[in-house]
Amino acid sequence: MFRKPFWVLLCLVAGLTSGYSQRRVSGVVTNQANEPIPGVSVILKDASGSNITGVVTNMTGNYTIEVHSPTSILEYSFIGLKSESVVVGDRTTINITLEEDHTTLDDVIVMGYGSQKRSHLTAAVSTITAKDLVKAPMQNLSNMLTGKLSGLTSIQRSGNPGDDGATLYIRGLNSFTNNGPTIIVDGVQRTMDNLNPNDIESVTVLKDAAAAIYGIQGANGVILITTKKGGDGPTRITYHGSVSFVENTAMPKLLNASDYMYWHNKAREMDGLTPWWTADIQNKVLNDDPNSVWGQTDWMDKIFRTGVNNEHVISASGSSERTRYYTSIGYLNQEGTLKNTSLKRYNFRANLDIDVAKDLTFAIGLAGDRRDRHRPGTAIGNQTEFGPVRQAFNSIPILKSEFEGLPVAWHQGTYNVNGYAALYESGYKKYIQNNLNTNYKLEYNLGGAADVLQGLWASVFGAYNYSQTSESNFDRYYQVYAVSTTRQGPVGASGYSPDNGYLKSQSWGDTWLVRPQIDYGREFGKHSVAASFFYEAKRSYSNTMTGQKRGYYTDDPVDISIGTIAAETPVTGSHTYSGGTASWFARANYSYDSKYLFEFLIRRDGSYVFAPENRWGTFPMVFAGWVISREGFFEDALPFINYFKIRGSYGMTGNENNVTPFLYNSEYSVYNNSMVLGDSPIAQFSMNNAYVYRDLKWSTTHNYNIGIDADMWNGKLGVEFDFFYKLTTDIMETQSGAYPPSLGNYFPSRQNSGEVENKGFELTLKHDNRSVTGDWRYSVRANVSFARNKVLKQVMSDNHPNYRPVVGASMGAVYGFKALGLFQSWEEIDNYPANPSAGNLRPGDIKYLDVNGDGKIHWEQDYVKIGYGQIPEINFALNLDVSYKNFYLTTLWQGVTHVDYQLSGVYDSGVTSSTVYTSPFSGQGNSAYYLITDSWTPENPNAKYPRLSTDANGNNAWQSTWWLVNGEYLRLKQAQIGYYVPEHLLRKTPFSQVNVYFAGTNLVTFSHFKYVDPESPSVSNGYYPQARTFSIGVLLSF
Amino acid sequence: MKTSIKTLLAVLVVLTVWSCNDKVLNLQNSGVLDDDAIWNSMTSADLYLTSAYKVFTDYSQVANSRTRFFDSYSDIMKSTSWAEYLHSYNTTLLQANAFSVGGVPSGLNIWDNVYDRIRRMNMMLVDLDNKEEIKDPNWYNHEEDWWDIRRAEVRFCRAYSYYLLTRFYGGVVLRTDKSGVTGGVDDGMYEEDIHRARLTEEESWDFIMEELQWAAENLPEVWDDKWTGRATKSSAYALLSRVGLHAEKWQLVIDAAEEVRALGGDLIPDYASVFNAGNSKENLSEILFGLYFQANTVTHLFDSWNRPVGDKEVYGVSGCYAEHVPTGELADMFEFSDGTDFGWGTWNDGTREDPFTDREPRFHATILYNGAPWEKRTIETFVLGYEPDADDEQTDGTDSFVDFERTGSTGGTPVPDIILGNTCRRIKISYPTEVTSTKPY
Repeated sequence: MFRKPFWVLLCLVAGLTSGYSQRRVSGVVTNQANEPIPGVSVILKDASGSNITGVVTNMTGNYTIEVHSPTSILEYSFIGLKSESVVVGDRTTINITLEEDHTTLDDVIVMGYGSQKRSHLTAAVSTITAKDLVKAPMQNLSNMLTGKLSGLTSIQRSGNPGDDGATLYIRGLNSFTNNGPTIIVDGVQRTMDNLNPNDIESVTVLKDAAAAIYGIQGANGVILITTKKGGDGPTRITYHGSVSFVENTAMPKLLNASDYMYWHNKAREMDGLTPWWTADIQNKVLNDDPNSVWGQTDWMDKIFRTGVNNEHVISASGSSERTRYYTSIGYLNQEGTLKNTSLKRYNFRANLDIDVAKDLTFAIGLAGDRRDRHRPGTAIGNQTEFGPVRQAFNSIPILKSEFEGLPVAWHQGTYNVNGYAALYESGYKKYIQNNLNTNYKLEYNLGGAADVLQGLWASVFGAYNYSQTSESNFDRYYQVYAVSTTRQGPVGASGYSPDNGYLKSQSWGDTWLVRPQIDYGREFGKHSVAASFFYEAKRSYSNTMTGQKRGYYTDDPVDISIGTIAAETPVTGSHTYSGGTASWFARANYSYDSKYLFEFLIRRDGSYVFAPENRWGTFPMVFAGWVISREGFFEDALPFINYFKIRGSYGMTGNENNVTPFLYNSEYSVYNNSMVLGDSPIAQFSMNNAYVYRDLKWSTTHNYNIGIDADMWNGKLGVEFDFFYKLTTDIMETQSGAYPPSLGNYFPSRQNSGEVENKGFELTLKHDNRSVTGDWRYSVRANVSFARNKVLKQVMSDNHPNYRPVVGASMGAVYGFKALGLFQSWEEIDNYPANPSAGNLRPGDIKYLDVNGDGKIHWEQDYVKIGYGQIPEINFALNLDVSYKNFYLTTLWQGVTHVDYQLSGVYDSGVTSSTVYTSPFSGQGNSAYYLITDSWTPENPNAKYPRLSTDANGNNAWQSTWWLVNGEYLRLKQAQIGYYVPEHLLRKTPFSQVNVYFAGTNLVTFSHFKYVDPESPSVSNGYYPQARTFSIGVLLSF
Repeated sequence: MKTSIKTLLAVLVVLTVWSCNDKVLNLQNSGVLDDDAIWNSMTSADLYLTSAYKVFTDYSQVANSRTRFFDSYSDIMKSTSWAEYLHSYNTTLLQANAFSVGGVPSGLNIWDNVYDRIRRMNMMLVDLDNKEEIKDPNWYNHEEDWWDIRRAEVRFCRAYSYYLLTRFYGGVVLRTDKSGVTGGVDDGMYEEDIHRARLTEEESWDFIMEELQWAAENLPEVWDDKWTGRATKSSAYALLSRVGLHAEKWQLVIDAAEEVRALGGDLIPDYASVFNAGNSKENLSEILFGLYFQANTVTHLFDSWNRPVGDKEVYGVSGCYAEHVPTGELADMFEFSDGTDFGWGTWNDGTREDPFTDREPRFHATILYNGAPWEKRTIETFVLGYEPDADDEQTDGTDSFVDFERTGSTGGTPVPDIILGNTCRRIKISYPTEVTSTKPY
């Protein structure tokens, strides 16, 4: 294993030089376009190949180096280009053109606790570097990963600034809960979306046993994020700025005023009710009668906008004699598409590598960020009662937006609804988070001390994260002019009390980690050996305090001290250790002739989660690889294949997150005023947990992986293929049925008994080509991943119908009624089994299948499996890059299939109900055109949607095939078209590089239901939609 | 230099490994309390052990649970439930499907919950044994009987729990602190502990009586004022006497009652002061075991639920429902102060201003009526009366149910015009409406 190849090359100086007179050799290094390349390392070697000294090319690609002997060799190398070596001879000028290197085999891949050359890789990993990461300005790193890494699934459920990151999964699902991967930033578990994406050097996804290196945190795969470090060479200052315009990807169009009145009256007639909208009101609406509340308002237009995002990043990197540095500052101002929602993010980073003494380096990484999130007082969510989007749906388009100085609210349903007032009048929710993340690494090269120790390194790595969060929520009472069919007048807005409420929550937390480590790596002829050994300890802590008050008489300032009424529970708080682990780790690598590759690891983890006697687990891993293309017979038989490797791995990982910590102790809570003894109330302690578990443990995942890597036709075709099988056992689950209640709950209701298997494959194909002149270039990167899980063991209740088995099925599968169509006649209804809801059926309502034929439609007996879960089984993506001279176009097409979502069904609260997307005139409000104009009426019996009605029928809300939407999609996820100003135009400017571009995200989407985004959450009642962005940006280097 | 660096690194490594494992693995769950915190001192232990009495506040008649007020299943009281058919009193009384043969109406089903309490008490007894064993010098108390008094309290509460179960269900499944195969509590981990045969009813009563006998022998005669409300010898003998009635052990009933009398148990002369939990202790000779509620504020649920609705305004507490009220028949059974029977046809003999004032003292201690003094105010149950000093505005009284039902609040809300149409003048609605009995057990 070669942990620090460049460092080794540059820093190890062989002492012996011969006595020839010195000579100065200079030249310029260019690329194939004849452009000079700065930063190329030029290494002087003696005839035997030992390094003597080295320099790097300057801004104009020039270098000068002292040469001692005509037999000396100069080696030119630069990442992404093929290295060249020349014998100096008599020359004093050597100009070199370096060709692009399409075989990326010498790329160094960041692995767990170290790095590895791609050619020595025996694990299933996907990786991308900075160049491919930032294809278009996006606010979150998690969203940038979409489609770029095989085996990674990303789902973005919301466009709300601050909550618009993607949920990530590696190789699908392995357990009943907690399927998220572990995120490691610069060697420490951290969060992803507070990072400045411009600071990222590379992202690596560990998919197989390689993730097992992370032991008890590796079961769901690991995402390793590495930030940029200073390189050798002169200072390079870069500015990157962009402006993005943001709009909703999808939002249904609601009925306008005249269409609303027509269809609503018709619906009332069909319900046998008197229409509301009389000719008189219709006249007032259409003439915008100034003396009445009637008028015309597009409520969707009122609440949404085109948001503008600004992003500015300045970075500087380079080196001085003993220090290499990368520093940056970043600023992001993100406006959401929903008015009065925004996020500001400030980032800084300083990564320094210092040669503090001979053979001793000290690396320090400091990064900080602050995020300010601003939202209205009214909560925004998929299912929240007063969500502004839901209020816009539930209002009607025939009202003025303001009347008599007050916002007009429709009040025919349960609440007063005016989405616009909810955004601007309801106070605020402010959230500020500060993070400080620091790393320190002291590394000593023992090889410098004695020859026998060559290749031996000792280091101590430490990290400290500090995070502070401040929430400030003001619920401001405001008045609206409420309108119903029977009365009008000012009232208080729904959900707010005249007292005004204020809540302030402050919390802080920190994590420290320390890891002493020893590494060894050396080559003996064709034998290459490496080993690592370390110990790691980590602890996290958090501390929160929340206070609240009521009785505010001003809007600003608002704080706890200004409130006049104390709440019943004015202050709550908690402080807790949220984690601690200790680990031992050992690793050995051996390879022969870069042909036969072996790696063995063992990790031992202890976690605070479990009882002391059951706390430690051992996780072994083994890897092997065979580079067949280095065998003579292979080279002879298949000369067009440049590289071919077969590799396999097995490893065990754990998942501690499935077990609640501290279940091995009795826990008690305090109950104030519990009883009165001696005339005064006393507090009492009462035990929380009925049962104490000493033997609960983590779930164990067995990872099997077999894969091939191949390069053909000199980089014209690259193939990576992996097949995996994961078996997760001992998943903790709860069960209760078998015990009599007289035990008083004293029985083990949690047990390690669940079992899930997960298998699938990933295929990546790469193709690069260019025209003969090199003017035209293009590259194609395509990947497809498949992962399907199956429950092998799960506790089921006794009365679960056996035709709806959970064991043997996939987790997340959707169950519901099978819809047969819409009732077309009263006669059809009469001959139908008892319906699942109270209330009467009418023609145009949904008819369900009575699966067990008992004459009753009941969910417990008649639900069947109707669809896939919300996490797609298949992900695919196509990265297409084309360039012509200084112009380039880069696109990312991305899609998923084998996924479903529901428009109506079971809410998080457990209630089954319809949503604004499925119930006409839901909440007595307005509706989308599609739902109304294609609803069932006697004239439109083959309708796509149920009966036109103002009376929501519970029968039509059930989770069923009717409202299940195929969630597959294909979208142009990111695209960028840009231009590099040619070098010769920049000579007289201070710039070394100028790049301007136009970019966009979510530009085109093909899906089955165009009124909501295909990544929308299931059963939403008006949610914050995802964004489509259009950006313009510039990148300047000095 | 080199040596010092190596030494430094080596020292760092050794220190790290040496000190870390314990620091990162043996963490405290500091969001909640653990065993050590509960048994930190005698005071904290008492706060844990006295929670055994919660079986009384949860499942006795004077309980936070709404379904145990047995008087409301009888003819003397009724629940004022707003959900006429769904409230458990009414389902229990009116709906056939609330009953099953040999079972208990769903509203009265206490099996699961009382066994949860019993398990907690069993664990307290196990804890007491363990902690006494340790003899922690930091707080080990030299009063010999500290441990047995606590055991007696918990066993008194456990006996009461089994008494409730036996009364409702007959023979119980006996689970104690020593009945498990491991010698501790019954643990679902062990097959033998899961299913146990029920005792006969007679065996159940015998167990309860033995427990009460032991409790009575070990409980103190009296507690410090600070702890009034914890069980005494009298409490245990009184309960034993009652249990004896169920078990038909008549001599035991008499003997236990005699023990109570010997300990000073007696009726007190002033019936009304039985309900004055507050400042006086003279009623303790009659109150052998009392459940108390906080005075001068409305904190505890039973206290708030059973207050007149007008107290909602007084205390700013929303849950003043007057949830259980005496029937008119009960109120009518209280005699006049001269000992003659009350009757709606006879009360107005020309000397009495209203039907209530001239009644026997027990009436005034039990029934709230229009004009009754209550705390610092007067009960107003009338509807559509004129405030004495108001203009022409008609209002309902502060404790009027009509007003409460209509507006969700009380306290003289002006009556809407539409209702004033069916006008009536200040009528004294002469129905007794509330009971304030926090009658001791």
